[in-house]
Amino acid sequence: MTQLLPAALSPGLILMIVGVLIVGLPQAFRNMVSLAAVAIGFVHLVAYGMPGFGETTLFAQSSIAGFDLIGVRIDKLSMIFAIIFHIAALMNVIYGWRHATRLESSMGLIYAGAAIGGALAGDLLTLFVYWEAAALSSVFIVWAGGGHGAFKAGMRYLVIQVLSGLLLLAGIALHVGQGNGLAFEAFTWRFEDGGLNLAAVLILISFGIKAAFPFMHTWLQDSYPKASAVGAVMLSAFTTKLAVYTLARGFAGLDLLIYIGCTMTAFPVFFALIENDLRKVLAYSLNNQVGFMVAAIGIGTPLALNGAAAHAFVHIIYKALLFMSMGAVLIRVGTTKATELGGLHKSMPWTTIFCLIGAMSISAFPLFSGFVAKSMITMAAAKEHILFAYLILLFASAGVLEHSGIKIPYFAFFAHDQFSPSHTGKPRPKDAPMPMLIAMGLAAFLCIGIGVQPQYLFALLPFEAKYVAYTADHVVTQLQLLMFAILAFALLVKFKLYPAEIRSTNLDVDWFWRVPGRKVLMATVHSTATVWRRLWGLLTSACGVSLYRLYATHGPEGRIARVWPVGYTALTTAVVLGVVLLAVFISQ
Amino acid sequence: MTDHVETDHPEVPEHEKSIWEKPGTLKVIWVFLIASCGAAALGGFILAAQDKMHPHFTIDQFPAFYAVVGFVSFSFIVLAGQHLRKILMRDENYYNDDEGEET
Repeated sequence: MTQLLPAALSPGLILMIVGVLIVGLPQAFRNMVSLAAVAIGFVHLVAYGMPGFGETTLFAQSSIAGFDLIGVRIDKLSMIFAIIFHIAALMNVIYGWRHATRLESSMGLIYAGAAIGGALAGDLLTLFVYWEAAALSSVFIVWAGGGHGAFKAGMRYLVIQVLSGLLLLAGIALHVGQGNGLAFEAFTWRFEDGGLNLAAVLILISFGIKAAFPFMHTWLQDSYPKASAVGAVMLSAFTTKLAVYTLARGFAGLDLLIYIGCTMTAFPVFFALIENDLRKVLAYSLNNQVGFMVAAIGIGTPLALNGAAAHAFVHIIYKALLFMSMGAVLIRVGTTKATELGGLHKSMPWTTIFCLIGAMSISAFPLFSGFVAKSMITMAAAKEHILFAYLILLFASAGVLEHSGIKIPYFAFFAHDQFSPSHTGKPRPKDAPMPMLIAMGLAAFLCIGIGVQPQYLFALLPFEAKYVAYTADHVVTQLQLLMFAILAFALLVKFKLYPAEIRSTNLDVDWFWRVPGRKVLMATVHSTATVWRRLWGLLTSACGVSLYRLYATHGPEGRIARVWPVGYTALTTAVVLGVVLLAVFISQ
Repeated sequence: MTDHVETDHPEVPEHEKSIWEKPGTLKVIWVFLIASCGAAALGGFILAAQDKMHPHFTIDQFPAFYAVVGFVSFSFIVLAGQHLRKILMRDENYYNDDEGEET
């Protein structure tokens, strides 16, 4: 395809520039222009041409102060992420057609553009710029949620995101200092003498923060549920998946990532179980899903890396779909707390159906998109005979079914009917507004489309690896896992062993810096202030005493004033003036 | 366990019940669920007999291995996970996020 725009112009930049320009436009124009920008960006991306396996083409190459910058790198790995980020941007624009605020429309497009630019960046410095642009644009989306809670969560989010950027910059500086160029390729984790490469460690932590590694994950559960209905959908797609891309590029095959990924898949399932806010449940679920990708990157075989890329692709769609369905509930009911919901299938049938499609996709039912991608990852673990990873990934698959497959649709749309007109005296909430239904319909179509016809997704995968999704044993083993897990759910509910939802806040590791950490910080602030006040007090009293003493000796009543009266000074001045006048007179 | 006591959920009048709340439908769902579990387990044994299960470890040679993993994992998550509340659960406004107490 012929490129109409300069090849040096990153498709991400198109979205970012338009994102800035639309801020002054009225809503209808803003939406149309956003849609056009995503379409133009996508056509521009596709016009680079689909690269073959191992093919890389570079554009926007320049050299500044001896450093080689590569604005656009097209290969199969960058391409699949750039494509899915465009699809996510499209869904965001449609979903927010009526409900996105001016700020959300603008920042949403800049954020998507930054993620696309980051995925296509060929060097580390360009990546850093897009990395920071993604952080800064997305914090406005958190703030757009409104209220003091969103503001504070946004501030915490910003601190952590900026920390990730700083670590990346420090890592880049060390990496370049070691004599490497700026090109973004796989990092050396250990030197030949066995020592750890500090540059790689810093960069891994930076990527890990954005991928929400364990103990660095709470920014996600803290901020996403505080964004608006539209904002949470925007946020769900980009930051963590850009991090997955950078991990796949820089750290493929690093064993440590298998352990990190497995931990990420397993621990959020417990937090998701006891969480009352269903959007927060989805945030934990996001963590768990990214864990599958991280583990796959750690396994590092072509099949595993294909699994990570495929899973990122399908996950963005079904996670957005689930966030969209909860967003629709939020718009119509005003909350996504499970304790306040139930029975919405009666008046929100389309949203229910779309949510169920998202739930079945994320649970990896055959014929849905999650099945074709996730089984690639578990298969890769099995083929490498990593038993512990295999078992944890199976355990986590049952966990996904619990919180995203069952809990989300069950408590929102079924369970106890909370909206009965004979009890509330009000009509039931209406189904989602039309633009939201269209966006959800598009996502649901893709979930089923990819599940039924996975060859189109497989054609985009970055590495050469033979894989057939639909074999009899795959389908049977997956159905065994899912159906028996559902049986367990049914029995637990029947015997009243399934925990009821409770209005609560559940602590996570962020408690350490939000409570004791904050106390330590505030104590430091207070003690610094006290020390300063005392010092200032001492200084002012010392000055006061000195002034008083000076006054006592030199003041009008002072001893010196008695010896040297004012009259004497006046007389001296008059004499000096007289001498000067005389001198001037004589000299003339 | 007090956690399991369902809070005030008044009974919905019969005319407002949807098909998914009718006892008949729930029975059909139970039958369908048990039948699909049976079919999935049976499928495993049939494939194993035909040598088409392709196990990768010793543990997954049992034809209903995944059924056991699904059932046990799910039950463990729910039964063990809820006890986390004893340690982690606080009042809804614990962090006081919307109060604006700290400026």
